[in-house]
Amino acid sequence: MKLKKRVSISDKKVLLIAIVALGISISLFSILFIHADVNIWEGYSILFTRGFGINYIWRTFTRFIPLFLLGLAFLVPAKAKLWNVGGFGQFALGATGAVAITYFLGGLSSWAIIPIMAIVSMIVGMAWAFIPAYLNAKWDVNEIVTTIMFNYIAIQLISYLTIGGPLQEPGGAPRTEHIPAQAYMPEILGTRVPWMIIIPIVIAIILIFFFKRTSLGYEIEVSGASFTSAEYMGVNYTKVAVLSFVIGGALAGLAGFSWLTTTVGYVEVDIIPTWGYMAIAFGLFSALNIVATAFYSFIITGILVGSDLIMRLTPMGSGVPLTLIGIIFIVTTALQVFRIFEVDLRG
Amino acid sequence: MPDEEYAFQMKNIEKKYLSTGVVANKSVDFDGKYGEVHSLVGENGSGKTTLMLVLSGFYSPDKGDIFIEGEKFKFKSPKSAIKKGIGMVHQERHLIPSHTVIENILLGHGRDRDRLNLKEAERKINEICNKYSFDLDLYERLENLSASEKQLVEIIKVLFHDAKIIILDEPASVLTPQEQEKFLESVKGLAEDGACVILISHKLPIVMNVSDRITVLRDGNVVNTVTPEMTSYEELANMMVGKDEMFYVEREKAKKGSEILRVDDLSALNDKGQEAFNVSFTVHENEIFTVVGVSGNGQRELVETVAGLRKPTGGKIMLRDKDITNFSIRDRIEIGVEYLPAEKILRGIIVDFDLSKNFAMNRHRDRDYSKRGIIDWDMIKKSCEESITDFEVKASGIGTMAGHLSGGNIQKLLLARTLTHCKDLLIAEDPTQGLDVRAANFTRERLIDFKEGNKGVLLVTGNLDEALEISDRIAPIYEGEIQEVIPAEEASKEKIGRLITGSSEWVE
Repeated sequence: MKLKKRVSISDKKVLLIAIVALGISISLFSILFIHADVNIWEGYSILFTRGFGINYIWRTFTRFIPLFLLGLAFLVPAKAKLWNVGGFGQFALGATGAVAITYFLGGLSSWAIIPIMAIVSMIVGMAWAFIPAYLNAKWDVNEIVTTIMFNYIAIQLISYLTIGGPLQEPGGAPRTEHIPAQAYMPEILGTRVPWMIIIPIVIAIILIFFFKRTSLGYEIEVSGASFTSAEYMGVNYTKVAVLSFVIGGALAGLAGFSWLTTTVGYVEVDIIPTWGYMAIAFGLFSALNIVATAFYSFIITGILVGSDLIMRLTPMGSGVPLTLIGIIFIVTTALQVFRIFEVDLRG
Repeated sequence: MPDEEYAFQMKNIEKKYLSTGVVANKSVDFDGKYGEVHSLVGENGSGKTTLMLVLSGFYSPDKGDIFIEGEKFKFKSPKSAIKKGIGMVHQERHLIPSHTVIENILLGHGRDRDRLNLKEAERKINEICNKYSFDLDLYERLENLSASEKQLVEIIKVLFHDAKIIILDEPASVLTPQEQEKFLESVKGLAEDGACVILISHKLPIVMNVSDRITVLRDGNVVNTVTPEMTSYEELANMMVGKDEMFYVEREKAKKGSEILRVDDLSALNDKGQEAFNVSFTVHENEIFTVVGVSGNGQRELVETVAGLRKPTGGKIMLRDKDITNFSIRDRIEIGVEYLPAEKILRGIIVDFDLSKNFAMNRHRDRDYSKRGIIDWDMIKKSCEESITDFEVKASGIGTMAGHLSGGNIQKLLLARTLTHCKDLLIAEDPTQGLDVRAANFTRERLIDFKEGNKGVLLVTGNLDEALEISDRIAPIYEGEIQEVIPAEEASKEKIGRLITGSSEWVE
């Protein structure tokens, strides 16, 4: 038996590798259960019923929305070989921007305030992504470095705004005020799934069309594949780089809006989720395939949600969700080798 | 049985490419002795480069053995081959553009020493340069070097690593005539110094000039091994091609049409910020207007400026009375200008894209293939299929990755894409560089067919024979200036040779 380099790989095999990786990871969870003296059957049953069971899946859907949007926020610029590691900062500021606008327009009805907040979050996310994008396009400043730095700046900025700053709840905790009641995301009747679920799905379909069929999408892909070929074709690199990056920023901002309006309804530095980093892995595991990114986002969100409940319902400690996600990441990463190599049993 | 008389022996080597299923080498025997130049000739795709990549450890053979000085050896990597004294100068350059010459030469060398000794290295490199009369600024960045200078860097790199078995893959294709001559002396010198030199080349005059032995490959098999005294150009060519073929493109007296391109007093800077050229000329319908010169005399910059990749510093470019000097690349394509780049892989294609996606380059905004920014992939695929048949691109289908094509087929793909869509003026930059006789003739024939449809070709080449063969008017360029515009009937190799080397000034 030996490894042979693959010439190409079919979508079916990619999916198979992903499923095998998930299967192995999930079976490895049993070691944790045994170690913590949790009945294996009970552990798995909590994980799956609470993560994917019909009565609880709304939780997974609710969290899937921002995670998938953040995955796309990484994926779109990555098509042009630009690495947006700034999803976290764009997300945090997007949410903060959405809260801030309610300070001025809090009296509007749901129909008005929710779209306005969504748009503001996207604009803020775009603006935050624009600076690293422009620095990269104009002076070739490494966007990985700048976007990471911008995450820190974003957190400091939010600290300033919410701890004694203009957005702090008067006389209250170091956080913003809650958004008005009508600004929370309504749920689809009879379920607890937010209406927002439609948005990432529509966006994904638009993006698939954009990259498969449009001239501009093709140009972004060419720029990612070969800078010199893009130059030869007269593709405006500045435009492509900035555009793909600000689309990413807008999606991350929108993810922040989604998190805000489907959960707590306020922004506090210490509770902002760091999903922006996790979502990078979705894009990478899926080799920048949009459908695969949705798949990873959904499965991992479900396990995240399910393991949250393991943490609460069993004596296992607070590290369970991240440990399980960690196992999935390690196994999936390790099995990526089979996308490049195939096992030759004869050799 | 292995014999110690040989520097190396390759026995029954078979190598199959997984990607295409093509058998590049079918049971090939090949060897080399110290102190000789052994040439490996054959058409593109005959398996020469593959065979040498096996010898230099880049590929492991599917079958067969390699003996170095009589000892059986199995290379695990290029590094283990280098350790055994095998060095290869690649046709595709493996150099880092943003690093200096000396850094590129030292690349991968520091491992077995405590630290890099730049002074010592510089001394050794200068010694090599002096010995073989190479003229190079060791502290210049690679990106600012001409093709021939880059070639020299690769050669020095191999010499620096003390290679005893030196493989040169198409070394002469990017060299100027003088450099070529000097270079051939160096090749002979290397062999006289006791090295075993393997020369891969399409250029029969070179092969006949320097070789002690010549081995001809065709379709992955050895046809024969001969000495220059034993053979002739015709015989070699026949062995390569497999049958008698017309080597020269037929030409008729051109019927010159109206003016397509007028370049007036055009100038632009090179990458170093110096003026690269300052020229005026015209190209007419039914005409191939050829700017011929030794590379590094401003041709590359001229091509880029006319194609729109480089900003002019002065002058005008008129296309059929329209001032296109400040047109974007896209606008130029729309108005009828197509550019066939010399950097086929770097510019012309994307190796990770399949043929249809490659075919979409520049077509992705053409009116025939897209409406309101939406690409009509069905049209592109259909047109791609038709043109690759028309241009005889050998591939298993339009889903093949372009990176799996041979050099000749990549050029055919590029021709298919540009010629079928060019409305007025084609800028062809060294279109036959690195191609074998058949692919080069194919390209030339297609260029002639193309111009005969009332179109114009601005050809830029370093190949004098090519210029004389297919041009209608020839403009030798030297140090950025067109010396004279000569109608093809009045042109001779001697005259052009004099003009492109600047020797005419000395004569007068």
